[in-house]
Amino acid sequence: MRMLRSYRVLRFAMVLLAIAAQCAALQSLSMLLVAGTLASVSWYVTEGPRGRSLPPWVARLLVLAAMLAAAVEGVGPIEQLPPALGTFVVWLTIIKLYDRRTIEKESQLLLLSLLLMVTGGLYASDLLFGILMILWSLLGGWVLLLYHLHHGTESMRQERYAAVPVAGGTPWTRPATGGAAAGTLRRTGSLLLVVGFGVAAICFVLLPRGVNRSEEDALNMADAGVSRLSLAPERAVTSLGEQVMSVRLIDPDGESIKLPQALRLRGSVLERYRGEGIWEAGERHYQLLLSKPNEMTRLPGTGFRRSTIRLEVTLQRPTDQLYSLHRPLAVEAGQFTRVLYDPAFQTVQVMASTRRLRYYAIDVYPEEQMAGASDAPETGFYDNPRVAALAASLLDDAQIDAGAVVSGDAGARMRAANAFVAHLTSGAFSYSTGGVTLRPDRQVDIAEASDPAELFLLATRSGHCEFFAASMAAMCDTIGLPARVVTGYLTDRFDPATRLYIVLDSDAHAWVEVEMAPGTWRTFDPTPASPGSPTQGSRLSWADSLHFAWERWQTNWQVGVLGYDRRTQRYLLDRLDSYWKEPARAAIGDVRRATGAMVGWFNIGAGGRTWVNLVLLSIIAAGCAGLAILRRRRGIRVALRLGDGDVQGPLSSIAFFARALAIVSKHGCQRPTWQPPLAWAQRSELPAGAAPLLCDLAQSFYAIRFGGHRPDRALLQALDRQVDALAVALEQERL
Amino acid sequence: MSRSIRIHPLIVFLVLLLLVAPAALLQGNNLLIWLLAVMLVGPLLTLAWTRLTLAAVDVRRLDPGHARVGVPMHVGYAATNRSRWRAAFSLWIDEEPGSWQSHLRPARGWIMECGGGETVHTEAIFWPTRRGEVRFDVVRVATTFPFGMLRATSMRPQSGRVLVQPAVHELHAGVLQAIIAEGPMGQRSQRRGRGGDEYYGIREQRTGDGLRDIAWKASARRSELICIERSRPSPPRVRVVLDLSTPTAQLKGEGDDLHTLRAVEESAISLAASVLAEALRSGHEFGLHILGVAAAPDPGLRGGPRHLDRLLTQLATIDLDAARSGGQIAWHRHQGGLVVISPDRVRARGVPVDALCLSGRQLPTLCRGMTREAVA
Repeated sequence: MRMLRSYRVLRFAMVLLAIAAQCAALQSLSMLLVAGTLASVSWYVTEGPRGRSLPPWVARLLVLAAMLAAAVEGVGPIEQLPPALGTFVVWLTIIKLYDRRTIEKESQLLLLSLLLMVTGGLYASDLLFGILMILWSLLGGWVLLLYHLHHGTESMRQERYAAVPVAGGTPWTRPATGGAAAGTLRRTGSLLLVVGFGVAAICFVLLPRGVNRSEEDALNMADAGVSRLSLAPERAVTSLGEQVMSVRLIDPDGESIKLPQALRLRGSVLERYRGEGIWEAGERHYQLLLSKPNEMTRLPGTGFRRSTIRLEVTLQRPTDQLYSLHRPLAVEAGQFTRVLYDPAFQTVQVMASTRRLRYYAIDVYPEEQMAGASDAPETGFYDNPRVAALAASLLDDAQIDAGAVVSGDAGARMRAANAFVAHLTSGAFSYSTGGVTLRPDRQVDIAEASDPAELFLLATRSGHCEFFAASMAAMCDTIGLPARVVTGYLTDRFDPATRLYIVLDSDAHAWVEVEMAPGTWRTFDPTPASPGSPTQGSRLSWADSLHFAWERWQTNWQVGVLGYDRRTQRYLLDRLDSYWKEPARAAIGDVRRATGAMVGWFNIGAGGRTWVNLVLLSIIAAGCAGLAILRRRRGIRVALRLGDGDVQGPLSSIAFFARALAIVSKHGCQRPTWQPPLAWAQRSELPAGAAPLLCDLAQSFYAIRFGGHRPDRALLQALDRQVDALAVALEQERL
Repeated sequence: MSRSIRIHPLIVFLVLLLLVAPAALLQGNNLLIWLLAVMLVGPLLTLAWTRLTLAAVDVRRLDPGHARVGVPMHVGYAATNRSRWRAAFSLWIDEEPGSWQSHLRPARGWIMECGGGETVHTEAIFWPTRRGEVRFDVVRVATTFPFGMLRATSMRPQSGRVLVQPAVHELHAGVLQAIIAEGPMGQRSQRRGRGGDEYYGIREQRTGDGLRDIAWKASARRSELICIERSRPSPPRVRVVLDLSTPTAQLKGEGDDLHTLRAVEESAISLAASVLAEALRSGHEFGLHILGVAAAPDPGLRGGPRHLDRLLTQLATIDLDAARSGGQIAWHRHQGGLVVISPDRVRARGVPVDALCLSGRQLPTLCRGMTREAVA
């Protein structure tokens, strides 16, 4: 059969897919190679022209060996048991692939492939396994349909050969099909799979489940931003290079854009120096806002801007700190979220929320200019004479009047800040993420240094971005120039294929904001562009692009599918509620308004609404009755095979004969399409009591249908009674 | 010797469900929950689809005609899918179990696909094992498509009657030859006159000549019976007399139980059918007379397959459980060869000497390629 030609190949592909999925779940490439090769070779051994199979005793021996190996592997902690079971099922499937091909063995193979997926599902969390599982589900559904038909063909063949002895000849075993069986199967199968998977997806969403504890733990480990910066020269900084977030920049025209400079995402602001190299955030006055899904919540006091840049940030890790380019104007978190906005420092945070934040969007000022508190910020936190002397000497070298800086001259402040940046980015300082080790002749400097910034500026001159930022902020503070340390991310890793900025944890960065004029802050980055520094910049190869895309999908899979729990379920259902509740309420409101308008227009007065409701209900009831009548008329036409203009009188006058035909048909005597009703009634093999009744009814039908006879109500009732008598006679005969 | 155990798919499914469902729901494993959802949807979809399919399918049994023991009987069914768009797949069609099971060994009919608005014909094969009349009352349609865990069955009452004729075996060549050959019994099946076209001459009357063959005027002149000789002789005639007048229990047989004796009677019936079929193959005219049980009127001596079918139908309707009566036959009126078949070796009274007497027990020896075990 043409429609079953692909069955064996697809069945084999499905089993291979299940083996590959199990190997992906076990994360064992060697097993994939060995098991995949053995499984592939089985096609040529068992399905080939020779069609050989393992002797039963060898198969049993191999199963025993696989069982022993699994038992040895599974001994130990309970976590080892599912992988051992999965390995055992892989070997069992391969042994079964080398077994004889019978219809029972094929069903066992299908069951084994299901078991492979079940055992894999016990411990797999990879996206690869998820993709293979979805593919397997689709392929499995289709193979199951084909298997059903294949099983039917084989069962029919076996039944016939069992029923007819050899001497009776070879029975006919070709399956009966309609005109276009293959196309019909394709259409029906596709429909069934679509409906099946749709319903399965709904079941997946609605099935009860608990709270995912691992997600809970992840929530507790959410990135809350940097609220304290402690400089420790001897401590090395390591980063794994894992993806933190991906950012899409959208210009006012709605296009994804790439900035000419690196993307600087601003997070926490640390303006207070506590001594011993510790910078931390001062007292905050947050404003609490509720961010709604699909709606930008405007941040208070930011003013209205017609043209803004929008950042769409997809987080790979949970966070409580929202990072933004420049100054945020409005925020939307993709879900109902309580947002804390600090107008003095233009930072946005999420309140300890009940759900992990996966996405947020922020509208920002297009220009790089930060606002601050209107009152003058405090300075003088950092008190170090050696650093102050260094700062003063730098001002002198740049011929900058220190008094102008303190008095708030924007030009002087700009030049002073640039002088510090120039000093720090000169070749005298180097970027390093490792711990600091000093030469013996500089040990005295450590002894004399009162804090890490001084040590960095005067002795080590090597450190990571926090040292540069903190040191510059310290120098600014010593000359009375308000400055603050800002932490966040800096990246120019732009993927042109997806138009996304990829942000890694190694892109974490710190820089300085200096107040140019009251309430206006400007960004300065004192970290030199050295290898390893976020300011160095990085290129994105296509392999990196693919890798990061895979990571994003993997995170989405783990969060969206594997991490789908009761909280997410409730949230999703709440969102779904809004889709039907609001339109339903609106529709009810429309009906009420229309009813009120109608009452007013007709001037019905008190109780008018009740009357209108009654009229509406009557109309609905009449519509239902009309539909019922149409359905009944259609039933009569179908039963009597009548066209639209075949009957001159009312169709109800011949309804009795349609009923009689249905009754007789129910008792196993169906009128052939080619036989006229009367001839059929006369020749039908009905019981003696029923045959005359049917003949009488057929003659009455002829008289009405062709003879132009118009039956009155009494005659129709009599005919109905005759039909009842026919039913009784047939029923008695049956009993 | 290993024996495979067949487990119902629903049981396998329920066992799997019992394994997967607790693991999925208690562990909160979403992959397993997805598999569980797919596994739950399978039977639900099957339940709905099978019901919808059967509600739209009409099945009608086509008239099966007669069957014969030892020949597969094909019963045709016409399945019409009234649904305009929805196709029906994997329809199993058979008869509801009933009395017919003692006569027929069934193999169901199967329709792989019946498209929307189409009518597809299929056939179930029945292997007749016993002679007699069987009734079909209800056609049964079942399907488990698409996922095969739940079966939906629909009954379509439609009465029907099938007559299973006795088995017909091929006789050894010498059996019928012994009836028609020349010799002491050579004229048994010969007759002259009636059938030839051209007048050839006259001759003296011989055994087997009919009244119409007598030339009356010539006979009157010569005071002896003279018959007309035709240019071409009519085909030989064989009359088979099946003697069932002896009740089953009174048949001879040492140590034979009632079941064996009834088998012997069936063998006699089968032998009669075989002789008649052999007569048709040899181009004879043939007739059948049944003694001892109520039977249809004797249709006379004729040739042709329709006549054979008529006679086999008579044999099929013999009710061996009915009361026996000592049937009488006017042996002298028989023209042509005479074969008297009785269950056992009992010679009926008044049987002409030149009649060939056979018994049911002789069936294995008279038929080609048959053994006693095969007959049993």
